[in-house]
Amino acid sequence: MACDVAKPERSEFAEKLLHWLTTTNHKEIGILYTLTGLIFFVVAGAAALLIRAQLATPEGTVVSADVFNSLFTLHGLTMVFLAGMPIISGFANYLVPLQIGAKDLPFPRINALSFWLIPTGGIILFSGLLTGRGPDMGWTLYAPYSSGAGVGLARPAADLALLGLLFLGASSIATSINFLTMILRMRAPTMGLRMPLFTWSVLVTVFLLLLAMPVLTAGLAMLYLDLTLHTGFFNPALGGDPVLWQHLFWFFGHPEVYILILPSFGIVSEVIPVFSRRPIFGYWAMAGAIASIGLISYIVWVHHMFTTSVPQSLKTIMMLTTYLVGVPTGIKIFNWLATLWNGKLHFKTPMLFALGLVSMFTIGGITGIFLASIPLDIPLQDTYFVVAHFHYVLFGGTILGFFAGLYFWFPKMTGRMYHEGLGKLHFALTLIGFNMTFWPMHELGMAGMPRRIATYSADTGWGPLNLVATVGAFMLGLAQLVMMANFLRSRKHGRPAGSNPWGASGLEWTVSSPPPPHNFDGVPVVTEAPGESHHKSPGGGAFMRRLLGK
Amino acid sequence: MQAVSTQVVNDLFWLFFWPAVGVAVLVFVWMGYAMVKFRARPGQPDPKDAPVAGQIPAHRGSRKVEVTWTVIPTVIVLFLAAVSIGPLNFLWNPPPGEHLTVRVEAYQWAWDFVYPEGFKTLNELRVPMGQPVVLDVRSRDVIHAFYVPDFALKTDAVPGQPTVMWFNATKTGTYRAQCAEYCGLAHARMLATVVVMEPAAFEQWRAERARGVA
Repeated sequence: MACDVAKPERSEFAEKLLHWLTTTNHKEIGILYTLTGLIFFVVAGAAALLIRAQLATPEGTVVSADVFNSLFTLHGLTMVFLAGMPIISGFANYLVPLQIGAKDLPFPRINALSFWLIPTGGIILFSGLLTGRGPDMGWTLYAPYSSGAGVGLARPAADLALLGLLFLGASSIATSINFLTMILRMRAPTMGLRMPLFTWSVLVTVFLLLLAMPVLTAGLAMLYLDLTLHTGFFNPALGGDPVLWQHLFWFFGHPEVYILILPSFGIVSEVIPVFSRRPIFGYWAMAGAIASIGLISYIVWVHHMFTTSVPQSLKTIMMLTTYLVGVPTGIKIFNWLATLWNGKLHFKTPMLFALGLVSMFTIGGITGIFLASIPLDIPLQDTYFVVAHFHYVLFGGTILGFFAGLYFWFPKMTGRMYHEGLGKLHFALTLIGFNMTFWPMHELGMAGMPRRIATYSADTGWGPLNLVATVGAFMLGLAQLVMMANFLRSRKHGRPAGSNPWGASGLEWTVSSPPPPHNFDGVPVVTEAPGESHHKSPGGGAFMRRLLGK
Repeated sequence: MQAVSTQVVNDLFWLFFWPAVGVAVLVFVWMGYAMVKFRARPGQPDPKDAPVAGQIPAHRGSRKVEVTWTVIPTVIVLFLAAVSIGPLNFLWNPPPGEHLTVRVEAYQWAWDFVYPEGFKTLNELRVPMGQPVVLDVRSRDVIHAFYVPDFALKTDAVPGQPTVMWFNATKTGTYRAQCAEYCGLAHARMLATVVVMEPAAFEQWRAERARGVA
């Protein structure tokens, strides 16, 4: 009977679907996270292209002001919470257990819950669009506009966005506890603190998440209550304080910036030594720099508020602390460059993206030094100069790091090599498109163009540079299709990779590609280079061991 | 320069600019040189300490070098922080004495400028050249920001929390002012002009407007 033939076929698909819906395996969850992140990356990228299309010429008519406002809101929220963080979770899920010799996370079901909260929160966040108006308060959700004061706030899109974010926050908090427990308790016995630098970066990242995310969650809950029950926490007409929202938001928001970038620093710290064929220069300095960036990130948040009514004393203190971030950041850049020295450099795609990060992030770091100075920040705050700065950090840093990592571990995850030529093409188009998009924004900001404006008049003179930025943005968008085509093709048709195609050092390269479900037969053993003993390592190593035990 | 503040900020900007270019050149030249000099050559053997799967990489580094590139950047950033303090004191504190104080009231999506005599103008701030002018910036609904790019100045208009901004315009003319804090639907159209006038012409205008009120 025809039914009997059709049924088992369907059930095979259903079984596969059921498997992916219920999996608790860290590698499969890692893949789910990464794919979810990439899908939202495309969505947020499409929003960015619409923004650029609207701003390409003065008095643009591509979208209305209303739609424009919700486009930049959704672009920011999506890139940060639904693309950036899930992709980081994807890398961390897939790699950290393999790198430290664990079989899975300590709480695999909580891990699955963490993942499924992401698409759930994402759908809720976007569901306001069904009412015809998306959320329009900017990703920073500044009160009291976001809490209903004034006119024009898109309701219920704002409520739904806040609810969606609460789901995403819950996911991050659960994930951070899961990873913290794993990294502190489940490392291979012989590893000690000589963890791969990617694992170090994840350790510091989850510390940041664990302390920062609850503050955002509390703030979001207060904002939601303000909107729905008129509690007035942030509304001065009801006795509240709108600047309090900014304190809560940036107490989370600044560590968040490092949450987004530290894992990419970790990725690059893995990639550069492998393609230089030398160990990383200054391992403990690198681990220490990651940790101190994490610590300092908690005491700089007022640098987002230099033009507000915050007292001058607090602004001045946070200007000084902000400058301190430059020191460990510089240490990282110099150590990456020193790693190249006397090496044997292979310019494969992951290495190109890693060096892309080092150079582009340097530019973002330098403009950060300008913005840290209050007298310079006053004219530049909330202009396109700031937009340029944080895109050099978050695209030039975070996303180029993601690309380096995707190409580097693609063979491990799929068992097949990507196409090197297409990879290099992706790199070239990305680097050119990126700089064309964001470099002119420095100048636009210095010429006084504020961010988040839906249009501008021709007499401002901002037209030509905006046009360049828009052309660059579309090039950048097209470049990403090359990457996707490459991965889709290579997943099935790439050359078999073998367990260690790059000659890398981590434990993940000792197992097959893709690794077996349980990762390791027995407890893996990390060995030491001939004549080395990390238990006797001097200086920073001894300090870190005392700090963390072991 | 259009105002004293423009000059102050501009001077500071160039003080930052050259060290910034220096650091960028250092990083790019260092990287470019290493990429050429240490590129893999055909038949070249791997260095002795090349990575081995499952093996902790050998120690590589130098404490002297790490200390150097910790101390020098620390000195540079502390220098840049220190030179920011002077301009900061200037920008934040109007000079002593009596000055024209205009109350700036922001609301979705326009600006009212209220003069001491009680009259107000809409979206046009008129001020005398060569005298300090103090702005008492407020908001009636959500957060806005009063931004005059040509004066290199900006301050948020926070409901319930007045902020102060002052300037001394040094050239007559009409300057653009714009809301710089996103405030909803017509944020992009929340514009104003700052008209800097000869002091005599300004006083005449002011007296006329004041009479109109009285």
